[in-house]
Amino acid sequence: MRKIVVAVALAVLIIAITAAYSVLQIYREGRETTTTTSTSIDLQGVVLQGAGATFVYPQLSEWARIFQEKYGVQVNYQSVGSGAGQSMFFQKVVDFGCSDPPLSRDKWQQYKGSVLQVPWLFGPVVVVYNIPELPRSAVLRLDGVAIAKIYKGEIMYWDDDYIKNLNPDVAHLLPHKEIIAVYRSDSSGTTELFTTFLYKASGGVWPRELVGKSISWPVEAVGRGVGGKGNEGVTQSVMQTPYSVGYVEWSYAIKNNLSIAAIKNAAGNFVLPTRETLEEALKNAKIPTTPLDDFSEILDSVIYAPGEKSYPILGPTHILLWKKYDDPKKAEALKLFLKWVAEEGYNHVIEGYVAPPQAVRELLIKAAGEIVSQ
Amino acid sequence: MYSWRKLREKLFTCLIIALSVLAIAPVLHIILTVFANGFAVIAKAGTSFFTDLPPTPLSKEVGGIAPSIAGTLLMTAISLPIAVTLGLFAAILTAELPSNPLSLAVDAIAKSLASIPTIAVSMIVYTLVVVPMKSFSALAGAVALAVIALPYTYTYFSTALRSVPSVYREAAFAIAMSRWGAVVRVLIPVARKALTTGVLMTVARVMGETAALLFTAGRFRTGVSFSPTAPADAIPLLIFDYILSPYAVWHQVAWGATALLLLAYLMVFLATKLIVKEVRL
Amino acid sequence: MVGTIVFSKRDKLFFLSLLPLSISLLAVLVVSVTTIALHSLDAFQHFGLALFASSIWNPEREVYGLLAPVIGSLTTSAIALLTALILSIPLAITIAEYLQGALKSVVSSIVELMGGMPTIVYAVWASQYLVPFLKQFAMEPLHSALPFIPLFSCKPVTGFSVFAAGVAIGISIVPYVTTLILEAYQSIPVMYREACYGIGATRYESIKILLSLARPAIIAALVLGFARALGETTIAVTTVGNSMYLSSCLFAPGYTVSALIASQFANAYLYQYAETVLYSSILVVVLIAIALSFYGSTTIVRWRLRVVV
Repeated sequence: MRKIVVAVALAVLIIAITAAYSVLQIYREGRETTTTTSTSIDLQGVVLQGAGATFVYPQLSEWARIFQEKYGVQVNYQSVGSGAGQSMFFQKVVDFGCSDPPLSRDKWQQYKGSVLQVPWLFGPVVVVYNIPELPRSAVLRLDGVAIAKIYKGEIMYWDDDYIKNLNPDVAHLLPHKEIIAVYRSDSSGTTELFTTFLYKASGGVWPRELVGKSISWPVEAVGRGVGGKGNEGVTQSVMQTPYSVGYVEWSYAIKNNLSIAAIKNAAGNFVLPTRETLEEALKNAKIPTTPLDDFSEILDSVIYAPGEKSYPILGPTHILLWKKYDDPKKAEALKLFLKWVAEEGYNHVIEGYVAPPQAVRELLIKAAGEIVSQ
Repeated sequence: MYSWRKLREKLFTCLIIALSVLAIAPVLHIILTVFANGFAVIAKAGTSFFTDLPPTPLSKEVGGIAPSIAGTLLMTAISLPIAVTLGLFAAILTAELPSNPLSLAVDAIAKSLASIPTIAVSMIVYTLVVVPMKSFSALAGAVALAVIALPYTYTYFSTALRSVPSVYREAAFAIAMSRWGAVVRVLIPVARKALTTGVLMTVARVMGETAALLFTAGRFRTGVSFSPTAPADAIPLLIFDYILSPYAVWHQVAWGATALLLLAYLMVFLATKLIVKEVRL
Repeated sequence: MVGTIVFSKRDKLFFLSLLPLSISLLAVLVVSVTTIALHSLDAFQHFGLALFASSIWNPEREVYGLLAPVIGSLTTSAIALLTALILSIPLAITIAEYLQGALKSVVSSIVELMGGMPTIVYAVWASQYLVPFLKQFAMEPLHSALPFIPLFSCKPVTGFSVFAAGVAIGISIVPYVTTLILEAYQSIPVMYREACYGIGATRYESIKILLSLARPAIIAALVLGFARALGETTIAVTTVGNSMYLSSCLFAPGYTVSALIASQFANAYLYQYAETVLYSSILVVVLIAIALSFYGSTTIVRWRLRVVV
């Protein structure tokens, strides 16, 4: 008897919860439609699916929320990685892709005329360190040569003469401890940016072969290297391992209160990543004039860029779009989204990201103009 | 000798208890960490944790995990019957006809299914289901989950059925029951506690699976959807994305979601245990 | 004994009725393995078996060597199995023999609850708490006490290693193995226990005898556990150290096939051979698991033929 009672009670509970749930959702959706502008009533309930780089996800979710409140169009994004994002985009499983690296020259040739790219966000890679002896107020200065030598295993201790020369103020505080170099063990655009910088800024110390998204780090063979999975892996390794150095996306350094190093740029100044230094670096970016163009040179022009105050390590993330979409509603929604980002979205840039120069905003609007649905 | 046996007995008891405590300690630590972090979050958010959408990185409120709850429920509801049915029939085959070569093959293969890296399962289901459908879906996620769950349902069910002493089967045949009759009316009822535990453990596994949903479900977090052919989210996926991000509010959501998941198991497990009673053989 | 058994029509119908769904189960594996094999053809055609002779991952130059991940997978799974064995059997025995009533329900519920922990939460816990703990209390002591044994010969820098991954995965499969053994143990008819006590056996001796009756369940649990350990992704990725460096020392960072895929698949599409090489590593691991699984199943069948419960 008791068994039957409990069974029935459980079943009733489950049905009640599911029913209440569905009712609540329908009620919520009904409420939401009244707060949208009149120009897009026919776009209600359209869902845009995107996939790609993890870098973009936090910014995109912020934009998506504001955009959804205003127009009722949902923008859903999955951070699966740039490569998987490109693959899903080309297989038409998602409507737009986000890739840190632009399409390679061959791929671009293959899809010439049917794919649009815009480097719609830029973000820096920062060098973080964990030296207990240094006070929070002190900023360690490093240059391309020093970092290259550290990651090659040639500079072994924090009190190496080269580092001391770069840091005359805190040279006496630097300890005689081995440097543990933390790198990304997974394939990532952050590594590509970092190694491209090392190649350009180290004057030959860091070879061309060691540039890429996933490389074999020389310091690993010496036993003083640690691979972390993802930005959070590197962050955690640096936080947990004293006398370590690593490279991560800016937002991770900020949110976890890591010590960021000042890097020597092409003009010879040591700069920290700030909104000004990043925008300065972007002034010299070689951005193509139309979204149908080949973007494969953009990375080279942005890293170690000239400029007194430029921060030397940053990179773009690109949105990939088709020129033609079968679903007219989706095409309309996409055009609206791109225009909105160019006009309003960049007023809502969150910590860790920097708004691109005016040239990019124009590109976005051009891209919106290029999309057709039939 | 008498005292040597007693000594062995005492030593054995100590060793066993010590190792058991060692086994349970990490479990307790995790559960306590989860509850400590998670309950604070749920208490702060209140019932909106169940009905709201997830927050953006800079928002002050914790928001909710409604899309993930809906998705997890939907995908579990689709994948569980598939896994249970297939597992049950295969288990009956191997329990009833053990010397049949097909039984051997099924037994080995069902267990080795678990060796496919879970992320590879999602890659395979992506190629077979998502690409032809041109869309992520709860259905694809459910298929991936069913593939993951199969080895578990099979192993639990077959162990349960095999543990029934053959006396019962012989008694059933002695009163001229058909083979199916013997299975349905004698074997399964006798093994029902073990079978139910198997189902529960599979439910737990399925609801907590992360990697299999990475390329199949769609991470649909901007609305709540109960449709099997539309993209969906799942609680473990949400936790995966949020706990690896640098934002504090997302970390809180992740802990809250984990605590919620564990709480759900507790309720389901306790309820089922009250209903299904053990059979003393 | 398998002598000459005559199957009646009823038996044949019974078999036929079970056939479709059982074949479906086989079909699932066949489809999966075929998909994997098809995707790995390119890698085998281009690289051949040299793919498994070295340990490199350099997609920019299209140079790959999968020795470290494959060996790492096998090693971590072996350690995981050992850990699970050492922890689960005592736990199952304790719950079955030494606990009563409410405490028994609570403890077995905790164990089952653990089985439902999302693997990512588990992975985060393992990387933040378990690895430092193991480094301080297991790896460093072993390294200082027994450095001449090649397995312990390297100094653990951060603790992320094949050993840590093995123990972490082992702890994660404890709930499944324990529950399986527990259910089988509790299904042993009371008369066996009564017989043991009847001849004056101590608790320890009767447990030994009862465990031997539950042996097929233990083997089944171990096979499942090993397969699961081979397939475990999220926990491996956060604890194994993700290094292609192959060494005989357990405390050095290493790789498993699933961790390799989780780390590298995201961008594999951007290179020519990366994806297909990853698929070939999965194929190798799955084939090894199938072989071991067959071995386990035949052992169970042979046991069944000798001992009838």
